[in-house]
Amino acid sequence: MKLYNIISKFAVPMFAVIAIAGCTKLEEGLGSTLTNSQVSNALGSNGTGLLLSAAYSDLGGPLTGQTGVFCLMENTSDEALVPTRGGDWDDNGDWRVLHNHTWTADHIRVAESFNSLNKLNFDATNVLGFSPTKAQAAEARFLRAVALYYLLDLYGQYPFRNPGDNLLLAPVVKSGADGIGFIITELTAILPDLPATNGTAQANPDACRTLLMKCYLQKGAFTSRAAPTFDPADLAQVISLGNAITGSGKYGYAANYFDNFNATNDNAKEAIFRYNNTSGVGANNSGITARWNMTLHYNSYTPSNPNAGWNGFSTLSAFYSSFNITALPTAFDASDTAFDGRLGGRDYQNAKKVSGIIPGFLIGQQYNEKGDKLHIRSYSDDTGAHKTVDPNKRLLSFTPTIAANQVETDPDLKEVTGIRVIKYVPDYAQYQGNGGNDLMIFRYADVVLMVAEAQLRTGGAGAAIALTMVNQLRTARGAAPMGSIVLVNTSNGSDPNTLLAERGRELYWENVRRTDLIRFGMFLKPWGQKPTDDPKNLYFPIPNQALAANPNLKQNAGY
Amino acid sequence: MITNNQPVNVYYLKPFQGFDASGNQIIGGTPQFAGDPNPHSLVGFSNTLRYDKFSLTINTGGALGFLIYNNTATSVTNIGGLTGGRNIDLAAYNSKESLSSTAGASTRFLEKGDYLKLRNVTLRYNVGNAGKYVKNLSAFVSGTNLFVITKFTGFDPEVNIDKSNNSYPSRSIEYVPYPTPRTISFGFNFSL
Repeated sequence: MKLYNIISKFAVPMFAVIAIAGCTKLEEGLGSTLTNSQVSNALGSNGTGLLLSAAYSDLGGPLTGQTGVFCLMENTSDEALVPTRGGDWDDNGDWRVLHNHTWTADHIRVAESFNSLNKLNFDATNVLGFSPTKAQAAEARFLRAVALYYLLDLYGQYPFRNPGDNLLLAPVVKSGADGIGFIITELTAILPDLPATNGTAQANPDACRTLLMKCYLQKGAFTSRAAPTFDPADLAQVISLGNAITGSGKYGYAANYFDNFNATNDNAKEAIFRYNNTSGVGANNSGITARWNMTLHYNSYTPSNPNAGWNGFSTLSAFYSSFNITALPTAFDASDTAFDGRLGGRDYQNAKKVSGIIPGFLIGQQYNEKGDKLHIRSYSDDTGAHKTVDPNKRLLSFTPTIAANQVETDPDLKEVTGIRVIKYVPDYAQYQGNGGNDLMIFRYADVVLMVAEAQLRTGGAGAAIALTMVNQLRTARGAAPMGSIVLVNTSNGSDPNTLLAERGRELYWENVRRTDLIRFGMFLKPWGQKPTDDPKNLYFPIPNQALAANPNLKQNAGY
Repeated sequence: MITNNQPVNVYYLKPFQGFDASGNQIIGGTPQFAGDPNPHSLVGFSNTLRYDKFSLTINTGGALGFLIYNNTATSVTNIGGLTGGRNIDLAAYNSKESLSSTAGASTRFLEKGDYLKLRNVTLRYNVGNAGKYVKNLSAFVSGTNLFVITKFTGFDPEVNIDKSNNSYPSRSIEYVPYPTPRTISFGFNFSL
């Protein structure tokens, strides 16, 4: 009773005090948006440098792996395709429609590249809004120009913002002549501001010149894609810019073609602009291991069997025959100069003893590091009995023929069809990890071939100059010089004596083939697994989500 | 997908057209609306029965009128897995399908998801007071997810793996979920 009295005397006042003291209005400051000055303060004095690094690291994603720009540029061309091999690589036909040009506006790779290139576009523009130094601004504008160039090439239009624009308003869209004109103006303006001391992994003046050359060469193609034109003034610009690069003495042909693509290609003699990957370092690694995993077979590399490859990407036998050789090399000998070094087929960096994987085009029987023949995976036959592998049966021997509808149904053959291509020499220390091969974005040989093309298109004395330049390249690669050269053979896409074919032989699987085919007017011609085509396929469709978000984007004709 | 005049998250699939002569599956070219992943009715009953010192509680639950898309059978346990040394579905093994058949999404793997599940059963025996200190002693044995009555061939028809794509949500898709365990526990309740 006494306790109850004490409590009741104090309880009510106590509760009242607690209630009053505890009831405060909660003031929550929600930081959902930050002003520019708040961000500057948060980033610190090197903030703009960090933003620029972020823009650089956006470059690797779209350009490196087998998804992204690679499949849009290469699978749609006569250089690469991914046949459906039984249960593998069906993906609802995503890869097949890329090659036979029957894609629709909701294709996943189309949307993916649009988004990743625009991310680079945005991040580079962002740098310009945070008081960049002159060099930083020039580098950011260069990165933006790279993104805009690819967007214009693939989609025919690109969204664009100025650094201070209100992000709630839809960005303006540039296309056609206006689009390419803007990129050219940008690159010309920043060329003097790019520090000449920048290395090849940074925006440097020669990379700017290379991109400018591409823009001038493509100007007519971007304005009238179905029938590209070439203005003599533009071609003259290509030649003078190219001569500035070749005449600088900074670049030369590598001793071996694959020196440009191996795991230690940081100092490659032909690199003008590259994306730097460091072996074993995950940060900012663009995923270069995809470049060999995507084409090798499951049993190609003993330490990683049976996951040594994804067994997908192959090249076409018609493309292979444009190298104009009649017989496969049977012996691996580094001193063999009988055929084009770009084909590979020769032992490189002792690969024969390390893995048995020789860079270049892989046809026929494959071997492991001991010289034993490799086999495909074993399987149960229809009655359920498990077959053991006879050493002379079910060999891993890549065959050139791919099914006409790109669906392999023969159970004995499905794993081995298609000539495989090892362009980037595997980094064996990081076979499936973080490879060290740098991605070659702009290469010296491309510059030489562009000058040769401009000379050939100009005509007159240019034809002889072009032939000389091409033969210099061929000699450096161990190929026999050509007697004469024309631009293109419109009735035979794989005619070996054309400049288009030479570009194919030099720059295969380097993200340029579709652009080249369109420029030479060969993109819509039928080949192998692509019997018919439609002019709308000169552009990729704008993804539906992008159209919904930005009313200034208009869907390309035909979609 | 989500569209007018169709249930939310309706299935939009290419039709399955059987196997061809060499055992490859034939999938039609154009997708069509293929069914509803949302149950029309949620059913269940719960009982408590008492007899003398025993009491039995039964809870069941279920859903009727929806389809489940078996993505596990489409791409993980399909027959192509044999070439890669993976385990496969018995249904795929017994079918006429050949090893080189392409893997693709189609109405073949759309299954009825109607189910009735015994969610919870508890049998309790009331001992009463035991000794001086222990009061209200009771022993029980209880089971959760004891069995499910369904035609669905996957692990558990009560499944909803997130397979949303490009902001299209998904519903009632099974894709290698962790199987639901059957749990049996027993114990005592008492107070001091």
